[in-house]
Amino acid sequence: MNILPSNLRFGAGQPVKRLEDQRLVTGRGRYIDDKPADGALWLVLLRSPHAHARIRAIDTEAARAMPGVAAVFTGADLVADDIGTLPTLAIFKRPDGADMNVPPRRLLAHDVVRFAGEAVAAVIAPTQSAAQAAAEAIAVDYEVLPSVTDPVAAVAPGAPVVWSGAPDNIAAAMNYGDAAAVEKAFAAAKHVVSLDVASQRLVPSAMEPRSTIAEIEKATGRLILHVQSQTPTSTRDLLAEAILKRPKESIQVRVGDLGGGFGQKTSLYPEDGIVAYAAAKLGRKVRWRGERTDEFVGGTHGRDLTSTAEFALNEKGRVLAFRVRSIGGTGAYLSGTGAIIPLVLGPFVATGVYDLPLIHFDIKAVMTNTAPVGAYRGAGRPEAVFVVERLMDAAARQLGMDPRAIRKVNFIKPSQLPYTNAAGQVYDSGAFAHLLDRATELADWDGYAARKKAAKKKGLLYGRGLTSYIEWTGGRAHTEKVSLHATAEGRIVLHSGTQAMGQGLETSYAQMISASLGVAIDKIDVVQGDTDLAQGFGSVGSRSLFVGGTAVAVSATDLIAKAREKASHVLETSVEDIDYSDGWLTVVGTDRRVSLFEIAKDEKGARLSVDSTGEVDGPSWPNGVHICEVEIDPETGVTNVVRYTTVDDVGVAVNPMLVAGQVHGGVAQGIGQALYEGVTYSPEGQLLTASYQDYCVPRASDLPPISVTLDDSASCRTNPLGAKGCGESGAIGGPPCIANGVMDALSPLGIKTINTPLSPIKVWQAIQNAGSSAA
Amino acid sequence: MKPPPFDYFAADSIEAAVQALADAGGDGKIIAGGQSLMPMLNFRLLRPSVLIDINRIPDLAYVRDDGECIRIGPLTRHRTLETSSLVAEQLPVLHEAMGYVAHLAIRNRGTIGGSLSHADPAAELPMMSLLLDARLEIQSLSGRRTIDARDFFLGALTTDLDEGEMLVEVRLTKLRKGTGWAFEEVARRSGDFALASVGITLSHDDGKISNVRIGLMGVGETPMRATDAESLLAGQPFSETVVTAAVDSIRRTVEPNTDLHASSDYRRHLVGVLAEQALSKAWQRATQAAHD
Ligand SMILES: Cc1cc2nc3c(=O)[nH]c(=O)nc-3n(C[C@H](O)[C@H](O)[C@H](O)COP(=O)(O)OP(=O)(O)OC[C@H]3O[C@@H](n4cnc5c(N)ncnc54)[C@H](O)[C@@H]3O)c2cc1C
Repeated sequence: MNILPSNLRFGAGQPVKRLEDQRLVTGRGRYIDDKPADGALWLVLLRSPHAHARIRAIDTEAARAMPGVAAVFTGADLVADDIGTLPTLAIFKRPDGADMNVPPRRLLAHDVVRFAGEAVAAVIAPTQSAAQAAAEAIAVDYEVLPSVTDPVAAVAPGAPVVWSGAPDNIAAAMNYGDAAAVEKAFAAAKHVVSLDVASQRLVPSAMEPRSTIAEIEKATGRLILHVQSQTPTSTRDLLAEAILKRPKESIQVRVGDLGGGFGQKTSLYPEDGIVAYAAAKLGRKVRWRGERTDEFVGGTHGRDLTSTAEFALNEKGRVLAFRVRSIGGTGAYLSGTGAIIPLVLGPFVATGVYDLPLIHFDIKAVMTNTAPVGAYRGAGRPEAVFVVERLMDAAARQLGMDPRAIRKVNFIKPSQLPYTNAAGQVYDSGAFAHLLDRATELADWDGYAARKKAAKKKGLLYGRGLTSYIEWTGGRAHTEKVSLHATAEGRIVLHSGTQAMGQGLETSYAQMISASLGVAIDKIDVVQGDTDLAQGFGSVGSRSLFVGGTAVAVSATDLIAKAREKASHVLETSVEDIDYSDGWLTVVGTDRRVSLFEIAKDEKGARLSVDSTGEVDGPSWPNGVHICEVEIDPETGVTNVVRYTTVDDVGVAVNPMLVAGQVHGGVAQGIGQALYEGVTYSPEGQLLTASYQDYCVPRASDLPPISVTLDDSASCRTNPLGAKGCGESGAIGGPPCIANGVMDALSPLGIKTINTPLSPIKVWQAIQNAGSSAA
Repeated sequence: MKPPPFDYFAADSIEAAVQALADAGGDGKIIAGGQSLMPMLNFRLLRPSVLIDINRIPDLAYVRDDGECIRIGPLTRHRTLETSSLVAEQLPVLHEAMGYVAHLAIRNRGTIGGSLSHADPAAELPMMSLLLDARLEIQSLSGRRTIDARDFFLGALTTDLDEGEMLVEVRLTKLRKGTGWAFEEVARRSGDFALASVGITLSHDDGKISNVRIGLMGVGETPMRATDAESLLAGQPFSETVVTAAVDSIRRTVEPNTDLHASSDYRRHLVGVLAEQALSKAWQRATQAAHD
């Protein structure tokens, strides 16, 4: 990790208002779809209406003959042109020990389609409507095959087979821990608590649907891809190496403003690849505009993990062993992170903030005839934390313990830090019991009984949910490069390979630079999303600020060092005698000085530049406590979240307002997962929740006020900023907190569990069933 | 998500609009707020040859006191009804219901004429038009006619409107002084179409229920009046027994759909729960008014 001079203290953390908002809320953002027509051809995709079918023939003749149609491509054309397939991290084994075996993810289906919505042909025409009309004129002869959409059904014997290379539909599997020792602990335990839990499939729902433009630069022959990517560099590399098989330097990826990502816009999509292919093939500018429907049927979905989890406990509530069997749905094809999410990222935090050394996890990644599953805010960690937190509350209830008490019995103690968890991950810092105490107080724990009584008077059920979450952040990429420039015009320009998508990186980076260089914040330009200017791992796994920001801090130090050296020549004195302050380089004890920007005048390109690398020692582990209270109308089954309190340890917060915004958004999505959202496919594999009319993202008025308190009493020890990632934590703490609250309210009726989303009908049904079984 | 091609005609009078409808020979569609029509076009569920825009016709948006009734122009936005003091005073049940129609952006555009003509079985205004004994004025090339709301709704998204006809005015009967009322609804999210909803008006007549009207929606192909339940209640003292009888009757008569968000059984149960709540609220209000 880099060591920074002690004067760089960002912990002073000011809630600076977002610099980008003036531009973004007054319509001056530059999104891909804002680009002028510019004679570009439009690409429209024809998608499969079937969940699983053999393509017998595709007749494109009528489409080709339509006015203006420049080209129609099918899977066969791409195979003929040696266009590659989208890779996945295939490092795992199947349960029988064989290597992972998954179907090739082609840009356009070839021979077989494996989910409804998979692209089978692309039409390119001068207007979007001409391309649309031609796409409708393509006749595909399908032989419909049996399909399966539920991952649990997919592993049953005799289930339809998604891919012949994995006849049991299991793409890959992982085992953690010591099965025999766990079995023994369970056999001897005083208490065994068992729970079935599922994190249902979700649609990520970024505000801006994907869109892509590709063109060949006349002078150089380079391919310029305007694409919505959280990871511009790896998007470029994938396109170059896996798809088009050309040198990566021959491609420039440009992003611009990005209307949300939530992990869904990492890597490269088939649509992006086809647009690039078409532009190169036709030598024309080609653009594709994703509609909301394209996101529903063709974007990656999130979650989809079904588990059975068990604790063996002693009489004091201490967990002696923890066992989980999970099935993670990957969809028909494995996205880049399709297997790693359930098999690795979940297990990283599966034991949560508890000292649970004896574990056995058995996880299978299972293919179904559905859209691929990829990263969605939290990617694996929400699913895993959901399991342990739901189980912890179930255990408290079964043992008759206070949910706080059972957590305290099992928390990792401060003296155990740094703590290596059962998956081998090292938590560097944390103050778990302290956060619980603070949250208890802030949530007015003691006032609960009175509120419950008042609700009961109104005929309502009332419950309280508690969650202590932890998150692994960093995306396993612990370095990031930036360049920082002082220009002769008096500006400071940062180039970073991380990518803002709404989090406010422009503001937090500018804040850091302003603090370290003593330059006014409005003189600072943060430039992202151009692989010619900066390369890096990008923005995933809540890494931008703590890894990318470390690079920013380093670059400020580097720039000052370089400026001092340059100033020593200009002012004809030794470097040690040059003092830097607020943009000026001064000979100590004199009034002889030169400005940073004057120095830039004599530099190459009239810029004083440094390339810097930030390096952290490992992931950061944001954690916290969420407490909610819910009321349920037993007659209608409607749940209302009435109070929501969080205490979050994100280490040092550079901009606490931005952090609170991240928590708010994450909790909103968490409430969505707990109460409202869920992907439903029909038994035949049709996506039934294919628009926001049926896929219920909560509205603002469905959400309670969310009280967020940041606690930095245990700042991060593995990076020089002391910061921990904060982008996903709300979506991790949220779902189990709400579900625990609803279960708490329903437990007097003898209801143990209901799968999320806890819709009115499901809650009502459970109450009815409980009533009739009690009668 | 783009509509199929269509011609566009901006009518400057009702006469021009109905002429254009006639010219289109059944293939034309009026566009008012566009909040229901545009999604249907974008999903390509409709392919009209021409859209006849009535937004520029003068004097189609109004809420007027006409003695016995309130006259409402077809282009009156939901938001206007929601914030109208005349509506709040004379038709408080409608005022209450308007808050449940979609969300603000949609209420700013959507119109009463559009909502009634669109006839979604889970939409508030069609049910309100039944509850408030609406008379609908309809115009075509062959002249004007008036129809009662109870004869207007024929099925889901189906009304008595002929291809060449335009809804030109809605007349809602004012609530009598002292009327108790209530509106209850459950939707999946705030602003969604109702899973089930009940609107009630009634009077307190010397300790007895009178003039009771019960409107239901979301539990059948059209909004409906619970006439059997109304008869059970009429002239009875308010009691748990008569309320239960009315609720049972409602549950027996409705035949709700099953969809992704609610089963038929759940809706049937729900409409009873809402009816019970609405009856007691309306009775309380009526009782209060009787004692004032
Ligand atoms: C997300 C969303 C949520 C919604 N939620 C609700 C809700 O909870 N409750 C609710 O009631 N509504 C809801 N709506 C519908 C909304 O209220 C619409 O505005 C209303 O149903 C139609 O009104 P409009 O003026 O927009 O009609 P348009 O969309 O313009 O037209 C609808 C239909 O009526 C016809 N039409 C319009 N005016 C006339 C006329 N004067 N004469 C004859 N035919 C005419 C049109 O030809 C078309 O067939 C929702 C809409 C959306 C998009």
